[in-house]
Amino acid sequence: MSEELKNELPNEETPKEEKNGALRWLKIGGILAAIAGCSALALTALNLLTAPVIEANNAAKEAGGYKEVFADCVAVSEEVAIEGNANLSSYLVAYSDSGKTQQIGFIYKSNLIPVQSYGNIQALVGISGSADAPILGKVYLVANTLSYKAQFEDGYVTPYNANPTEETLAATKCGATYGAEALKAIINSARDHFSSIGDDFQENLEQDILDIFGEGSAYHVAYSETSNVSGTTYVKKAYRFFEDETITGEIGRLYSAKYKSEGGDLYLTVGLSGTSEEVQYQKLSITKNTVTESNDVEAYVAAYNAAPGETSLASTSDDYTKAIQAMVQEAVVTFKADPLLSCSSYFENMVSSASSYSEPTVLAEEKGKETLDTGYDYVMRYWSLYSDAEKTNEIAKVYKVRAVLDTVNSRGVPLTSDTTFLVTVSGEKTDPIVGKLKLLKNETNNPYKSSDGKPIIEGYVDSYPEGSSANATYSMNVVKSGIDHAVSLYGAM
Amino acid sequence: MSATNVVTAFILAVFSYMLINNVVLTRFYGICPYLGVSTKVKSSVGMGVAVVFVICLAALVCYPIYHFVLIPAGLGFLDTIVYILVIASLVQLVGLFIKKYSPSLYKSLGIYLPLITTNCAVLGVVQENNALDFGMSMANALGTSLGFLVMIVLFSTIRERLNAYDAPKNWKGLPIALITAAIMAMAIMGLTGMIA
Amino acid sequence: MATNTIARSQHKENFLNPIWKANPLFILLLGTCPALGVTTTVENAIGMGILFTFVLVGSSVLVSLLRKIIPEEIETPAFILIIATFVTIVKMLSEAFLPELYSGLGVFISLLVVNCIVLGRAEAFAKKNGVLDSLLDALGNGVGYLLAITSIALIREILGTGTITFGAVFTFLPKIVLPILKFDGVDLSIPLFAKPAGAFIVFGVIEAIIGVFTLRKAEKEAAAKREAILAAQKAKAAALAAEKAKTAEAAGKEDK
Repeated sequence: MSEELKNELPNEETPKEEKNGALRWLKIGGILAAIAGCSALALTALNLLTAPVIEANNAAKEAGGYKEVFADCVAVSEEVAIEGNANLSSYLVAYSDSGKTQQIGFIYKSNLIPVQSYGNIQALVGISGSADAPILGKVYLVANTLSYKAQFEDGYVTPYNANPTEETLAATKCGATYGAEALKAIINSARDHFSSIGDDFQENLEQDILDIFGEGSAYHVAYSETSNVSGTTYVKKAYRFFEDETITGEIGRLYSAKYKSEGGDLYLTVGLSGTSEEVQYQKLSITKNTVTESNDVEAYVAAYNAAPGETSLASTSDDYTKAIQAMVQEAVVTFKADPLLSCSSYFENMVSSASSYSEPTVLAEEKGKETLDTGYDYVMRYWSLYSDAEKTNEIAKVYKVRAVLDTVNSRGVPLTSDTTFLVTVSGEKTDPIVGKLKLLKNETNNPYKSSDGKPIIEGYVDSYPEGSSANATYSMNVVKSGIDHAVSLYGAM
Repeated sequence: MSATNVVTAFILAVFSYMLINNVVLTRFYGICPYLGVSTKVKSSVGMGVAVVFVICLAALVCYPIYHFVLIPAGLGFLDTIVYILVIASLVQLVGLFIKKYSPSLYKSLGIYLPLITTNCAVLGVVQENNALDFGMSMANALGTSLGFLVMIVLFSTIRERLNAYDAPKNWKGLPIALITAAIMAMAIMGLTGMIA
Repeated sequence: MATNTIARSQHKENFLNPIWKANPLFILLLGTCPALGVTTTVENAIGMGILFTFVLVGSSVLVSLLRKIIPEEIETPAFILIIATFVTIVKMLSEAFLPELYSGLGVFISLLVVNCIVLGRAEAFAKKNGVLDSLLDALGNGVGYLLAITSIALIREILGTGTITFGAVFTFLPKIVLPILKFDGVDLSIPLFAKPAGAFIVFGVIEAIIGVFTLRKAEKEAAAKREAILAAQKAKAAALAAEKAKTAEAAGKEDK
């Protein structure tokens, strides 16, 4: 009996064990899956609820950001995605009216840019102006998780936003250099993109000079300054030309203008010099002409260039020649509002009795230069001033002097300055009188100010020969040496 | 970007994650094991090496899961859950692996191996990697874990000596260790801005 | 009636214990990562404490509810799942409705998943006790943790920045800046405390101060123990002597 029982028992157990094994694991797995499933459901439901709120939050934050970038931004366009750009994700057009007709500029959205191990930044950048003359705008940080965020904001972003220029853009060494470099890259990307969606026309200034002023002129690209023109329809850029490397004493200007129409584009560069009262028209050069239908542009331009002036401008025949006339006239208006800063324009104030002046005599550097322990002075050129229009009675000479200081003071602090000014010398050769001075340019690292609060050189020059401030400085001494040099040249002529 | 540029950038990034933005002393991940395990140098080394292994592996596994599975499916919000489950399983797997191939190491690690699951550093690094690209994620993982190893070993060497000295009664043990950590943190502070 | 009062005092004990006697941060040394990481400002610390309490209460209650259903083998992954779910809920809600808190706390909200306190309470308490007890325990731990990190944050913010700022994170509050060590022209703040090193210092000093109390208590207990042993020994000796006297008497009696 017991043996039979013994034989029976093991058989009863095994099916039970099997049930336990497989079923049990199934049950365990099932419970885990159930928990996981419930949590996933709950989270998905919550996500549906919160995602729109988060979107709204972000949108509101961005809208606030748009106002920070362009203060008069009232509405923005649809977002336009930018493909394949490491820094930028999209841009929007900012409008100053809700009807979306007055465009202010573009607002660029950057990607979330990581900065080494310090965190990420994401910014909105404003760019306005035109495609070939973009104007840097403000920056708004959408996200800034840098571990040194305060330094980054105070040292780079705030100074840039106060004054968005090339200088503040480049001043990345602020104790937060990596972040600043990253933001600078974003801003530059935005500006490049803005330029590229316009046209990729590049002005060839060298060629323009050749075409307008001919070979061997006094106009050199190295002595020029480019600036953007705003508030005009066609004229976009102004190129100022100066007489020497000090970038003082303007001799003439080139304006570039663009006309775009359905029939084609017409770009030109026109030269202007003289004064506001007597504008001297120089030639013009057509730099781009994609007009397809037959036109009289070439003949018109040739006629104008033979005799540049208002009269030859007036003989327009079709829309395109009318456009050229409009462009040149706009350039003249712009020029009159912003006259040439030539050296001769100051003569009236310096020598009131002068009514004419000679051409400048340019001194060779060796002849005009005097080297000092602390730098040098260099009389670059001079003019003779006459009391009569026939230029027979000379009453004074005006010298253009450049005084350069490059030394180290007694405390080991390096001092540099580069001052360019005009000085009047008149009277007998044996007893020359120094008249008024006019400061043309002054660049210095000298932070000291004179007792009346003016920067040292300005104060010295403005009050010469009467005042000289209590702090006699190295740079003042170099300027004085330049004046003395000019005087001795006067006595020798 | 040239090859040398990429490598330099990577090494600099690792360095900056390791020392300048140090995991324990600046970012505050991994404090629990940092304070709890560092009484003996030997266990610290063991723990540190295990952490390096786990963090690098976890970062390597979780990056593709987030960027190629969760984000495309719009399930980005499930990242925390997925990460912690991946980390827990990884730690189990690594444990089994070590147990099979190096039982002595397994024994010396003892309870510390499962403890790595709750180490804030692992989850912290993986969460931070959400916002980074692949190269930076790996630099983060490598730099952070190496930083943890360096700091915990340094700390344990100091602590071993501290325990032998006679600290004031109330400062013995944990309080003086925390002050030591503070001084180490101050030393790390001096490295800020080094790579700038 | 008697069981009710016992139960009530047990409940009280569950709630009050973790706040002072068994404070999760200062006594049990759990959850130190956020305690050092988010305590730069008081508002961040309070915010973290509230979110932490939410996660802890939620997960403890749920674990306690499901304790009979979850089999032993998968306890740990199940707890982790539940905790992670609550953390994600908290994360999503704070990102939507308290965005400043969300960006202020950063990764540390996600790190609540691996917070030793939450997992520890689930394993040590919630899976063995009823829902009410678990709830009270969780609330107590949450309050205890909140008070602990807020006290660290108070010290760090006052010493580190000289002011306490309200309204920066909880934007429904008016923005107040209480100048304590920093007002017109006078700046007595010690910026070190706002930095990581300062966190360690504050924590260390607090631990040392707590050490004073625990040491004193430990000494008292040790002394009491010794006294008890002595008293027991004395009682034993007295009892032995009494026995001896008794047997001697009896022997004496028998003799006679």
